[in-house]
Amino acid sequence: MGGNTMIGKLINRIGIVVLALIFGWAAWTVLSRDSTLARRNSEIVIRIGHWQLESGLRDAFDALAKRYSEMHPGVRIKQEAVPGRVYQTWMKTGLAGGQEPDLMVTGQARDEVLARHFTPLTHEIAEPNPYNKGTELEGVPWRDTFVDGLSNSLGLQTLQEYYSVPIAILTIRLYVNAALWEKLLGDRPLPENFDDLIAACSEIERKSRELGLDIAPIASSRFTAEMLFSPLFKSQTQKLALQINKLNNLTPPRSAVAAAFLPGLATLDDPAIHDGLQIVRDIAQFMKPGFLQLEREDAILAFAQQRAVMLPTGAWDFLSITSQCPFPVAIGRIPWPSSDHPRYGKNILGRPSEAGSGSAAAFCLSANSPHPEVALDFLRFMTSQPGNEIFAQTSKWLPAVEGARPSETTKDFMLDMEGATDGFAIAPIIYGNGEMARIYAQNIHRLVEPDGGVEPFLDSLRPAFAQAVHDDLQRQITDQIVAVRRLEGPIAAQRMIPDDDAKKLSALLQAQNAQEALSAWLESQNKSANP
Amino acid sequence: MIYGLFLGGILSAVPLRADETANMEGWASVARLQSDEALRAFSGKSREDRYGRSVAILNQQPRSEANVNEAGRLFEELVAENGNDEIGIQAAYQLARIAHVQLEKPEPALAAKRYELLIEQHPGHPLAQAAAVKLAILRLYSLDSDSPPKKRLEAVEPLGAALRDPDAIRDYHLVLADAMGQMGLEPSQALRHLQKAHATSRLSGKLEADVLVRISEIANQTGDCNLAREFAKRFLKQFPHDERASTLRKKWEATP
Repeated sequence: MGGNTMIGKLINRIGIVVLALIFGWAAWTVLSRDSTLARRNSEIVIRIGHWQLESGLRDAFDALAKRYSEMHPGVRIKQEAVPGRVYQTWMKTGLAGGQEPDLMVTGQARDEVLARHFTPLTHEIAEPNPYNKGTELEGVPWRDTFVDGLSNSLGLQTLQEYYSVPIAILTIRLYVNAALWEKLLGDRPLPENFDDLIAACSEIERKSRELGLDIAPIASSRFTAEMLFSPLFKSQTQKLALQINKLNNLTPPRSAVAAAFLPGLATLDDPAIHDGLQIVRDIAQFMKPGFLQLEREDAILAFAQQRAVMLPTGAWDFLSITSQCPFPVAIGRIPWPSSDHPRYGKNILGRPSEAGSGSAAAFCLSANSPHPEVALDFLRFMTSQPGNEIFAQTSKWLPAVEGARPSETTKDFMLDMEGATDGFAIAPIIYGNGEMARIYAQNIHRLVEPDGGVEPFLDSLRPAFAQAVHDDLQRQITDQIVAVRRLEGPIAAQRMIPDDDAKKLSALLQAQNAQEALSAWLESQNKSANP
Repeated sequence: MIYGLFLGGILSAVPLRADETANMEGWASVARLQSDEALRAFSGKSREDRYGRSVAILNQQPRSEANVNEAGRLFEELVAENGNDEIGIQAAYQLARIAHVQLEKPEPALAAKRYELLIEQHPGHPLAQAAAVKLAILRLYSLDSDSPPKKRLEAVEPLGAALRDPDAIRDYHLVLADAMGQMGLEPSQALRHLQKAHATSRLSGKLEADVLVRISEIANQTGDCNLAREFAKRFLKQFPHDERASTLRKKWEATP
């Protein structure tokens, strides 16, 4: 009996130990899972939304995210890259449901959207960016560290607030298949002016025929044609733009070209307009027949397959193009007519400055962000000199921040700040808005086809042109009146809110009065031109 | 009893603070173009609440003529009750704005009358000063638009004499400078107004850049090289990233 009692006690003790071990294991499992969950729940996630699916962009944002998380453990950046064709729908759905990312590219968002859903950064951009410490931008207001001085920030011209901050600059250049160039043209340098370009195109065609090859001088599509047509046409209206500028502000007509064709200003009969059309026709002769029906991807494919020597397009295509091209690619400027050109030289002032242009991938801060300070901090990092350099080097896009070095391979895309004031074009042949753009694009084939010409094109344009100018002006007037009305509320509010910053009201009044006076003048002119 | 008075004082202060807070929220919503939120915030019966509601209705989206007319009716009520307090003056200004820019078919003559009345009754008030600028725009472009440019400019010049508010002075001179340029008058006349606008030190942003360029260019055309150079250099210092910087730099930086 004594022995049984001892065994029983032993079994009991073993049982207790086993139970204790099992309990200990279970407790450890539960506690460790809870702490993982606790760590993940305490992690801050900043979501950034954009549509830049081009090669290298997502990698660039990932590189920025990685670096930032290294500096800030506990913060994770989550990228949401959405295809461009559905981006606006995705954005609107997100905004409506309060589910939008913390930082997002909005495109040309309307003032109501900006004011309702995003946080103005006006105060923040006046302060230095702390991530520029140790660089030559240390202590410089964040706004002044950008190549464009944030002059294109969304909301600035109307609401007098800075809503967006760009991360990149984009320019347009001429991509050249260097191997094919050498094969067909020998050691001839890349075209420096318009005559060089025409000569090179002629020689490429001749050599191509001689060698039994089907190689076009220029990879053509409606899009790539516009990349050449626009700057070349504008080269011819540089002086005209100054002549018709009654305000002496050296600014060419831009988004509102219709105003340039008010009575007493430019007409379709101006020699400069004729020269602009002719220079377009001159270069169009070297584009593949039917190019107006081709898409940008068709042109890129033709270039990559070495069926064309040159391709005019933007820095945004650099990685996509070079990654599929098994040949060296040289980058050149879009050739400009020289001032001694017998026909086109008399109209030009010189290659225009690229200052203030091309800002891209501009991010806004959501007013709904659960972590606005962290999101803003990441935005500062992305647009600091070191951060923007990470972005530029990885994406091969151009940095938006002063002194941030681009990738060696894309330095030829950097903005050229030196140059003259630009001219103006009648309308684009792609992505245009309004009636002038519609009739221009609709009839452009009469200009560029082999049996077309300047006069047949103008003959097709003239019947509808005056009405198109009137309609576009009316649209511009309406848009400005909407902008004037939209400012009435904020102005009334600023008068009622005790505010240390009286500059806001002053800027709103300045903007409203300028817009109101301009729309009133345009309306009076539009009425008298079309009684 | 003292305790009761003390407590009563505290309790009576609470609704006031809540009201003020709600009004500030209302105005902040109006500033953010959030009319629905503003209408919820302006829920009281005070004149400020009613004025705030009227402004919110006026700016509510989607825009409708019915809302504009309703807001007008409410502003008229506020003016009729008291046209001389701050709310009454604000409401009178809004009524002029309705006739000027808010109606689908603007009524420029009515707008001008309302601006003139505001200027006559409250000449020193910032809104009367702002009204003078709006009246200048009407007289230059909408009223009597068949009369020659010089006559229209003469009708506007007296408005400037009474101005004291710096923003109104700035915008008055800018409006005149633009009109003179667009009407093709002697550039030197526009130059005078541009200089007066600049002298207010209230210009900002792209418009400031424009004014500096215009003063420099017009001064150059009229032979005042010193003035042209001075303003070119101001522009280059303040707006180095502007697309016009290279042009002006080439023109002037070589000169002492």
